Amino acid sequence: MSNYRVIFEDPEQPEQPAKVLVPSDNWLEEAKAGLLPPISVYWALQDDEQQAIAEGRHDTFKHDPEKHAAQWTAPRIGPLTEEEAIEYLIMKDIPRHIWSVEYNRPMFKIVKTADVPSDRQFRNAWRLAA
Amino acid sequence: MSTIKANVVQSTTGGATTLTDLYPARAWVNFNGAGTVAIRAEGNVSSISDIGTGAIRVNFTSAFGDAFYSCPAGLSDSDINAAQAIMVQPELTSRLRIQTDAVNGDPDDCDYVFISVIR
Repeated sequence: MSNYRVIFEDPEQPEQPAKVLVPSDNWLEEAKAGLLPPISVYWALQDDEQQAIAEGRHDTFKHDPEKHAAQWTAPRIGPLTEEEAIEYLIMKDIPRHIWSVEYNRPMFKIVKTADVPSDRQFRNAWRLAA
Repeated sequence: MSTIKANVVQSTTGGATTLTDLYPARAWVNFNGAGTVAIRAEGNVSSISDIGTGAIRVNFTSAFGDAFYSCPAGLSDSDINAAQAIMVQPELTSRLRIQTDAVNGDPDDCDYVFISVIR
C-alpha cells in the first residue's frame, strides 16, 4: 500500500470538504516499472474532452483514435520513484485548475497515509493551511 | 479444439482487445469507502478520490474512447441501517463518480463498494 495520499480542495467548490486521493498499488507498480506514457498524452485527451464539454457536444464525443491509442503506443517515460509517481498522478487524476493555478493558499498537499484521519466529520472540517 | 496460451493479449496498438460478441469488464474496483478510504483490489484504476460523504470518484488508468460505458455496481455495509443505495455517473472518459446513500436518502459512507465498467 502506498505511503502517501493527496489532500486537495477545489477552489470552484469552496463549501465542499477537502478531498483525498488514494493511489492504486497496481498503478504505482507500473509507474515504478517505467510503464507510463508521458503525462502530455493524458492532457491531450483531457483537453479534447473539455473542449467538447464547453461546446455542448459531450453527449456525442469520441476521442481521436490516434490520441487515444497513444496511451499504449507513446514511448514510456521510464521508472519513477514513489514520490515522482504521486506527482504524476496529481497531474493526471486531479483536475488541472486545482494544481496548475497559484492561489493565495495551497489547494493540495501530499501527506503520509497514516496522517489522514479516519473520522469523516473531522476530515470534512479540514482546510489546507497556508 | 484449439488451445491458445499467452500471458498478455492486446490490441495492435497495445490497448484492450475487442472480442466478438463478448463484452468483458474494462475496469473494476473493490474499495472501502468508510473510515480510511482504501482500494482493496482493482483493474485499470489509477486512483480513487474521496470527494465527500458517500461520494467517490474513480479514475481510470487508461481513458475510454468515449463516456458511453456501462457500470454495474453493488455495495455491502456492516451496519444494516447504513448505505443501501448506490448511484453511478459516468462523468468523463477518464473517470466516473459514485454516490452511496443511507436508507433515509442521506449520503452515507459504505464499507464495501464494487463496480465494474463494461464497454
